[in-house]
Amino acid sequence: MSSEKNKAIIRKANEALNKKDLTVIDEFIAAEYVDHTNQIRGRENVKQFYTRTFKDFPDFHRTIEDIIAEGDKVWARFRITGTAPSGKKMELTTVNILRIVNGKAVEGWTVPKVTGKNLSIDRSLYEKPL
Amino acid sequence: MSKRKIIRINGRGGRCSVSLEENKAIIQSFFEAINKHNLALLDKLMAPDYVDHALQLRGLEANKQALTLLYKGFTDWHETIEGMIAEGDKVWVRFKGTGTHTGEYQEYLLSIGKITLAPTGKKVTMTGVVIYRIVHGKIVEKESGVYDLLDFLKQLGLIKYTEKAKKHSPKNVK
Repeated sequence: MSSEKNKAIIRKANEALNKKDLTVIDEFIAAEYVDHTNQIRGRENVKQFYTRTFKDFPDFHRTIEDIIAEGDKVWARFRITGTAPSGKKMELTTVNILRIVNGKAVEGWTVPKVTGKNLSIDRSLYEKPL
Repeated sequence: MSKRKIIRINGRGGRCSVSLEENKAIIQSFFEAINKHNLALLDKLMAPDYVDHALQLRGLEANKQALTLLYKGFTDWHETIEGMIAEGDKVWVRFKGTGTHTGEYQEYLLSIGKITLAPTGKKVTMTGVVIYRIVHGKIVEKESGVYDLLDFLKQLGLIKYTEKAKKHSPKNVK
């Protein structure tokens, strides 16, 4: 698979996910796919992950800011926006790394890791800003 | 003694002076220099007008100063390259940094401004992906950096999860 073909996979999959089209996961994710960062194994669990995401963020939108490919790997920097159930607008930048074999992603990594929501900063633990 | 620079001429008559492997090797040397606190080597690897867009640091001197501050906060700071990819004049690196918080740590957070944290003695890990641009054998800029910053701050004790977060994502929230 060429670099351009692998990048095209990411672009096509991203377009479909923005339309909440989960069939693209069957097309581009191998059945035995492993997300090493978020500990998700198997294509069905990837579908569940996106189903949950779309439920929590009905206006989920992901833009490809930058993309690079070499060998069997594609890395993409995404900008993700969406409104949480609380009404708060969320924005996040991630880099997703995928290894693609015969047109399907077989493993991946994400930075940052998917974290829980509603974090607060414990202000008692640091000195006042200068 | 003059150093011969090998310049490859591509088919269109233009100049293509470094290969992807050479660019990756430059980044390897860059990380080694950071780990060895070898700021002099950074002068050779980086352009004097190097800009770190992620940390908002302009010029090589400002970046070296930031490194010095980092070493003060974490004397055993060490970065490992976990993955690297190159295309054109770009190299993207997935890295893991580890260190012990033995000195004052300074950070600027958009939500609350500048913070300083007295040494906690905690062993911490920072993971991220950084994107470098290399021109004629010199690193000219870090275009972008994506970091597991929240996780890092949590390790330092600067972040705690709210009850709401614990209820919503019990698997992710410890």
